[in-house]
Amino acid sequence: MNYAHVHIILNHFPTIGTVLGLLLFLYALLRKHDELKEVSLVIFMVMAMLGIPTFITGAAAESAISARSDTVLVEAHKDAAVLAFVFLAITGTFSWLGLWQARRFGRMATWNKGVVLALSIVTVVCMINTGTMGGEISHAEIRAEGATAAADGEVGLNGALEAWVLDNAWVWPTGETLHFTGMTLLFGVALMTNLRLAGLLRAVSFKAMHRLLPLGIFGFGISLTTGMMLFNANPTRYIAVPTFYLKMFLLVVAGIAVLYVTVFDETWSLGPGDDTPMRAKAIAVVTTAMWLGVLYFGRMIPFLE
Amino acid sequence: MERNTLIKFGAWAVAAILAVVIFSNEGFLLWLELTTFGTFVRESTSFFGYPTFIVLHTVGLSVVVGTSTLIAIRVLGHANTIPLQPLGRLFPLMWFGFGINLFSGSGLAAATAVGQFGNQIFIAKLIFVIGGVICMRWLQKVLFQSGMGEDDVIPPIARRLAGSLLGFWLLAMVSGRLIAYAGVIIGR
Repeated sequence: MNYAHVHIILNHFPTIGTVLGLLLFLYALLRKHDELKEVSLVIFMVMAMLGIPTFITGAAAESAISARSDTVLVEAHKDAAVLAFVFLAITGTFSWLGLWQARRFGRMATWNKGVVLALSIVTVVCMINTGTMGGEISHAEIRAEGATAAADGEVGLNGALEAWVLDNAWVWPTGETLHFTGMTLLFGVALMTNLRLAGLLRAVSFKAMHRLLPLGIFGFGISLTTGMMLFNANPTRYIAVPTFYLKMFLLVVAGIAVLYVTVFDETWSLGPGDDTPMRAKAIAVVTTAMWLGVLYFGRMIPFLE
Repeated sequence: MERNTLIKFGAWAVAAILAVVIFSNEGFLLWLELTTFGTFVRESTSFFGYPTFIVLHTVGLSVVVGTSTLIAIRVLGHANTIPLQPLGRLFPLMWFGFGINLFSGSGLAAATAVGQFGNQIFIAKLIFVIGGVICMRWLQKVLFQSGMGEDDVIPPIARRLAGSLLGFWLLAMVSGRLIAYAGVIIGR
């Protein structure tokens, strides 16, 4: 089993998941059902997180079939994947914000309902398009006529992005600097909320801590955007390093675990002086270790190339 | 200004001048590179060599900058439902993070001392870090070691220090990251 297999397995989740999420969200909006709305937001957020390994293993899958001649299909699939990933990530971010608003204010902001709806529709279209193109790479029987014909000299979205990063000397250092800055903000928020859960800052209610979470997600957004931009410009550098996959695995799991501090009653109900349940303490310790692992494996990449 | 404060400022000024004189001496920097510590960090192929120092530097930075940034943001008025005084308990952790960075940073600087101390971006980073540390310590004294109560109004000096802290950390991080790109930026 190689990363091409993993990509084939993973890519179904964000595609089917976003469709299901959208259907559920539409139903919840029509029925004014808040719980179902939140379930669909959770689905969008989890699918966005799963989009990260799907995108990365896609680069590894491309490497595995690089000897093939029909690279036009692969390039078209990559272009579609970049667009789909961008919209998926933005949808996931606004969905998380909706969950945060629902927890903090009792309901998701009306403007955000419209934003998530519009974004999720665009994402579903992009995901279906990407999935179809991906399927055509290995299934000649479903290809449209002329799908393998090369477009003369045309540079797609992916190629343009790659050239922008690699051809401008300032882009890579700026991207790395922003990546570190975002990571520091994210780690600070993760550390502070986890210290509260672990019992160190017991005098602070979790409701108060909850206000810091958007800052952490902002940091995560900066790091994800710049990280994926750098990865996309030179994927072969990263996919050859085993610890890169470990970093991304920990990132995805720790990212999904953010839901615990965002929506769960167990954390939200912690008032000043309240001790935390053992489960919350365990989650705090494990997720802090995971974020440290993300830092460790990320920083080790240049030494393990 | 009180006599003790003047003496303290004078001592720090003398220490700063001495540091500049010592670290601009190429013979000293070369000696630093050839110490067991500098040689180990630069040449060791063990797991605990250069990569570990880099990782420690990143972890220490995340702890000290990440946590102090949030305290500064709170002092500036964001998330003001978080009571301020309990946050004072985070300072030992922040100083621990800074200790990690001081140790790992010393190792990384000693390993290539001649190149580092001749690099303007590295010098700028050091100045920003020193500025950040001064603000952090001052903030700790003003807010958490002056008998200030939870209901007391945050003094304007604390807000100025918090703003400066954010500025210094941002500049330190940007310059720190750009050290590796000195060749592209300033041709070193």
